[in-house]
Amino acid sequence: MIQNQGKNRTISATDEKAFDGLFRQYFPRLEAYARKFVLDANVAQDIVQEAFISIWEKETTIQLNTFENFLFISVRNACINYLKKQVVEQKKLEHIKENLWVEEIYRIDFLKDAPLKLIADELQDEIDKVMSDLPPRCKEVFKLSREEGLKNREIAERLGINIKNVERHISTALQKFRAKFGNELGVLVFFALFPSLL
Amino acid sequence: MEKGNSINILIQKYSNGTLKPAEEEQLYLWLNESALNRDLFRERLNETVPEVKDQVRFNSALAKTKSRLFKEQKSSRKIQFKGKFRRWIELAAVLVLGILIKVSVDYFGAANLDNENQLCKIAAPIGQKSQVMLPDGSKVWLNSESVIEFNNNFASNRVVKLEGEAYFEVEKDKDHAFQVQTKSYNVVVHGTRFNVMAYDDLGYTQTTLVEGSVEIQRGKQQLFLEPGEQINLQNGQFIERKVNTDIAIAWKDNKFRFDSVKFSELIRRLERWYDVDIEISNSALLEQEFSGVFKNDETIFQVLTALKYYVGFEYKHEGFRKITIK
Repeated sequence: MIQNQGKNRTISATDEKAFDGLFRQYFPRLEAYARKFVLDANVAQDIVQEAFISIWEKETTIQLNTFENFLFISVRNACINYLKKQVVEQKKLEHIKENLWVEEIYRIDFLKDAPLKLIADELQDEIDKVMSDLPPRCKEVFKLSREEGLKNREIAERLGINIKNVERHISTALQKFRAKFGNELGVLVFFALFPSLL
Repeated sequence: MEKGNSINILIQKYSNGTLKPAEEEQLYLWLNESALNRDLFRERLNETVPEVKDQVRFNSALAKTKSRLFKEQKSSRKIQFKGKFRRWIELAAVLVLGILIKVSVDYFGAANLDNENQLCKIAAPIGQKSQVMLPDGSKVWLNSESVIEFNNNFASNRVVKLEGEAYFEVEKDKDHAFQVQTKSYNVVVHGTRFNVMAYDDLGYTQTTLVEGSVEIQRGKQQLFLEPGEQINLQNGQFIERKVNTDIAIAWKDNKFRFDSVKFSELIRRLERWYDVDIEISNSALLEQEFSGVFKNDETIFQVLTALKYYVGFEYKHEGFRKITIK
């Protein structure tokens, strides 16, 4: 097992026993962390497994003092990516803002007090990025549609434009989100469910 | 103290991934109190072994992950070869040790012709175990903090003095009995496998017979054991019982097994095994009896954590090799 004083050690990526030890040590709490955000135990398990695999496949030796850090960030990023897809699939994500304490505890554990952005804020930023790339009129139409829940016809009336143009703007916005968040299947109407992100 | 205890429980639950929302808040508030608390949190986590509720699920996650990373080592042929190879190395090590002992016996014998009773002494220090081959080919496994002594005329006078614990596999020799002398009694055999536990601080001397037959001699008292029998001498009384001999000799295969052992003795064994000092301030624990098994690759903290939940105590890592139990 990996002891306290052994944190500066490196272990070989072929050392199966050391892998077992690290997996045993970190899997339970990282899986719990992922589950809090993705709300699905199987997805959470996959996320943590993939984090281990990606580190072991990349490195020939594992530096134990930075390993924790990498592992946690990998899990966190995978959670955010999954949540982005959920956003596209119009899943309700209000719960991710309820995990303030959890995020603080994990920050202290894995990042040694280094700053950490909340997952909700990170997701908000990602959405903002896509939104800022939209043409002004497209953005305006999209906001009215998702934030205020207006029908296409109502938007057309309010802005004094053709309903066909409203549909085109919304379709453009959806395409941008799908391209950025990597989901071809989802229908993007998430703002009604996730309004505070706008 | 109350607070300290509940924080330990919270850290354990965090490590297990089973904190409830209210507990998360509690832990967060405590962490937020001081940088000292945060340091303590990280330190404790390093010593905390997560308890997995759903072992099946965990093991399948581990197996799945490993199957993608350690594919090449799945070949059973390779493992078989490894196993064989390893056994050869072990055998070679035993032979080398045997030769070394023989050489040292011969050397001392030659250098001290006037002194017939030249002693050969082999010790396994605390926290370690040794395996040796005696000049007659008998094998001895020495448990931690144990010593055997024998004379340089061992071949004709097979007498071994033992302090501590050893497991013997004695070569058959009808003409020369093999004798293990302890402070409380002697064990006389011809060719057999048995374990003798004779630690001074234990309060009893125990012999467990695996195979063959042994004779216990104490003054004029004589007793015979049959395979599967164990005898304890405690307060001048011999107590015989049938046991699972695997438990008594598990230590030689790096397993830590114990069956209805008092907490005080269990802790004493752990101290020997791991070379640590454990102080128990809760005297109510001392007389409770436990059974269980640990493997050698578990750390002392893993063992104590497992016991902690079973027994219901708190332990504290006080510093280098020092632990207290409350």
